[in-house]
Amino acid sequence: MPRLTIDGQVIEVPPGTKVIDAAEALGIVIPRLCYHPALGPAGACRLCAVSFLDGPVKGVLMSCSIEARDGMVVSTEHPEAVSFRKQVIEWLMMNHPHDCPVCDEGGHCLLQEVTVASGHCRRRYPGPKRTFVDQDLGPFVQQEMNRCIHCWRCRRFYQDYAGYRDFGALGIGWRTYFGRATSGVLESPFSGNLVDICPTGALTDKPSRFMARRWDVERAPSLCIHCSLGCNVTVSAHLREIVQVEARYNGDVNGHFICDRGRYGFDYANHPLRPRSPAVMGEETSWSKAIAQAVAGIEEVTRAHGPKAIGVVSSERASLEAMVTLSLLCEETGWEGPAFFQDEETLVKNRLLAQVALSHGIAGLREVEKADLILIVGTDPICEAPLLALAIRQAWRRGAWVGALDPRPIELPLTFEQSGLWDEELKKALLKGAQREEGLEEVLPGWKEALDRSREIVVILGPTVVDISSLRRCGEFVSKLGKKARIFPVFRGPNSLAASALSRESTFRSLARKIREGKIKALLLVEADPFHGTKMRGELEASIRSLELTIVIDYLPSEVVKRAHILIPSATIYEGGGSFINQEGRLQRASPVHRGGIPLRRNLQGNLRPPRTFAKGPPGETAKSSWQVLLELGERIGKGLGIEDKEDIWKVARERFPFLWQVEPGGRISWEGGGVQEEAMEEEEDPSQSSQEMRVLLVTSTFAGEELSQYSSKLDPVRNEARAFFNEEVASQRGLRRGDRIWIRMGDVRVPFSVKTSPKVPSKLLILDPGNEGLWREVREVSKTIGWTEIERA
Amino acid sequence: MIKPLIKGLGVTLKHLFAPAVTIQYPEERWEPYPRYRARHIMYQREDGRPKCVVCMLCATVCPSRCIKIVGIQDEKGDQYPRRYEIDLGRCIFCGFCVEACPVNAIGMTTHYELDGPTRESLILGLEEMMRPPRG
Ligand code: SF4
Ligand code: SF4
Ligand code: SF4
Ligand code: SF4
Ligand code: FES
Repeated sequence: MPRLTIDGQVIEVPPGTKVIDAAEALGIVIPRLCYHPALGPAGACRLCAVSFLDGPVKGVLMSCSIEARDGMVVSTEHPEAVSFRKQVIEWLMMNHPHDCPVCDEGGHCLLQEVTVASGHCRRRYPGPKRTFVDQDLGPFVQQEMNRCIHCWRCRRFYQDYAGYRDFGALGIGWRTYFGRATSGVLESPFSGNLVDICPTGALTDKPSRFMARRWDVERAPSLCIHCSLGCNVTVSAHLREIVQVEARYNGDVNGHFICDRGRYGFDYANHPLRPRSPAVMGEETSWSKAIAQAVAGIEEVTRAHGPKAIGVVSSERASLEAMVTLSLLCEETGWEGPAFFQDEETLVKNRLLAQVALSHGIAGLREVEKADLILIVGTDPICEAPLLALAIRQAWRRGAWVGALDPRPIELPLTFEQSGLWDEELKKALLKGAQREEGLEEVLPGWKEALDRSREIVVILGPTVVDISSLRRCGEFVSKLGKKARIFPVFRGPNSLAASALSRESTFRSLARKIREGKIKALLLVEADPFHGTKMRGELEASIRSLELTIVIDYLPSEVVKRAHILIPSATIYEGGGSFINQEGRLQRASPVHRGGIPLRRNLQGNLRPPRTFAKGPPGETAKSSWQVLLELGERIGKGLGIEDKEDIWKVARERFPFLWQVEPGGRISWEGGGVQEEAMEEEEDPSQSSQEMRVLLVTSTFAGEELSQYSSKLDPVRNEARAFFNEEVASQRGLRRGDRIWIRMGDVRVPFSVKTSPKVPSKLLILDPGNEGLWREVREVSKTIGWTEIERA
Repeated sequence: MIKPLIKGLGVTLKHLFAPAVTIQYPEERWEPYPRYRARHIMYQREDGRPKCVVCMLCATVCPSRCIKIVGIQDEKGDQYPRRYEIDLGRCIFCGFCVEACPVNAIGMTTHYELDGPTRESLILGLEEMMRPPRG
């Protein structure tokens, strides 16, 4: 381990550490513009110059490019180095506009900071400045090339780290232009990271442009709950509105970056139709009246039909606090539930996945980055857990072999093998692959060789497209691979792991069945919208309509909210905070960002002034998280849980659900699983065996399909239309070509789709991506199979 | 004992015949010094738009936090405020905003007659700031 002296302090660092990082470990921050820990050195800005006084190298050199070695004596404050850095700033500013006041970066600008620190304040060079014409890079990133200082961070991230090619460096020398060949929307779903890493105002955040300076906003550490990875973010709020989400460094989870769904999906919290005040039968009332009505309703149903006539539904996006309160409340009262999943199959799959993964050694994003063999089974990383694609790419850059078994045409920013195996074939291949027969080699060329030289294997497994027995087969497969293999589970929601651990037998489908049988008369829905992504809209509507009482506690303007008898608004993660267990079992907590309320900007439209009334809180504030509302309800019906605040919940939960709460936030849970009843699930026969029909597989895409981000207007410009994926051959036999527009009849409505073809899609499968869900509002039931008679050209 | 008494009476007598310092407001009006700090003014660009470039420095420096700004940008990239509000009911007329402004967009006039029937009427909008009352 090299020992070196920096500014008189001695430090020992692991070999390969750069001097700039060694200094940072001592608390000495050497100014830098181009160096980024995730992207490495570029030596482009020359700002990190320090004096090497003694040791293997001497003179003024770049600390970001030089590895720490034994005996180095480094001075960061040597007059020579200081004056060097000062002149670097002066020449950087030669071409830089001196107008921080109109720059959106001003206030959190790295260049501004180092310029002020260097003392540069007068321009000595009288010549003209270099100027560029800006491009329109789409709805997320605003370019102002005149402010660029050529640190190359953006290109290094976009092309090297993330692997997309449509943005890069053009030209040479001081005329180098960082942009696209022509104006256009950035293709990468990680483009928002450019905003975070650009050290100047050359690339800034478009949606939050000119809203506020950094010091005006309320900021707090939070979590992204748009997929199961649980990336860490910092959220900014201004005038009762969430304005920006940025990546927050967490070396165990997301590293430095997040995806665009996580960055721009926040707008559901500012949605104009978001429920802001309690309502009974659609009429706004006060909190106390709504609660009193809910209590009266619950008591009436209980008196008439017993506690089992009340069903409780929640979902995978509810916080751990809500889930725990709900579970305790159901136990206390004897209500039916809580149901966290849509149907039995999803429940069993999720539990099985959690169990399989936890018992084989669960992997997180860091393990994926380190792996040298990655097998993706039944997951489309870009669509289901975007940041996972970046992690896979990092492994691939280090030489990992990547293969995928999924019927969808997966797109990843790297080269990989894919086979569209599905169902029986998939099971067979996995079985053979585990026994080292030719099974996988046949479908994924290079598998065998990769397996032989691999030291760390990660199998990425998702429950959406594969069936239960394939999941189990996959578990067996991984255990055959031995100790070096781990499973990286990809769930659907941010808290799916906790939901599968806390779930009893109830699912929404089983409750719906009981509603139809007349056993359940009232439904309590807590942050759940059964209409989201449902295939059985008609049936669902009938069940909900037949209920005597529907109580909804939610913050989304969802469809079930519109049908609620009693609506109680709850706080989002930005207002109430909350705990979530991510895909690798890591317990993480989010802090509240602001108090919430109706965004002031809405009042500013037209010429209205902000209302000036006397009140205790901001107007439209939803002060309570769903778990607080639940506690109050419990108290009022005489089933108090003796819980006052969050600390109490955690105390109770530690006793009751030890597997979830033994860890401190940031740690991983250990849960041996349990209660997966295999017999409960009968496997369905493949209905398309003999006929001309194709089986239907419903999938989601990156920007359309996830529940919360569906309500974010910021993502509207990038949402894809509805797409239908056909096998290439089958499609060409029928005369369909990529890009054609078709109608597919479902029941009595026709839904428009755009045709996509791929050789990877199995011939008996039709993959439907609903895209913008609005189109589907009419479809009462999505059938399991679709024949060619139901498809017509538009 | 008697001496200070005479001195005091002398002062009284002097003021009895000196010209009055009070003025008969509102018939007579006081002309403040030009550097006096009262009602704000927003200067204009040549094309009539406000000169402000929405840097938020005035809102930041304002100790009573009474400035609210919402900015936009035109096609050329020039930035200007869509809304700019100063709540005179809370302003303490320290003049920090004027000092902070990097483009001399905001200034203060000597117009000190600030009144209104409601709290809302004391909020100065962009239009009012660009057209200060005479006097
Ligand atoms: S990029 Fe930074 S230094 Fe340059 S004008 Fe903007 S705030 Fe100022
Ligand atoms: S655009 Fe930003 S990140 Fe890219 S080279 Fe210029 S200053 Fe660096
Ligand atoms: S990868 Fe998932 S958790 Fe991370 S930012 Fe994207 S949506 Fe959020
Ligand atoms: S300081 Fe001047 S330019 Fe900046 S926001 Fe205030 S008035 Fe506008
Ligand atoms: S940070 Fe070392 S050269 Fe830019």
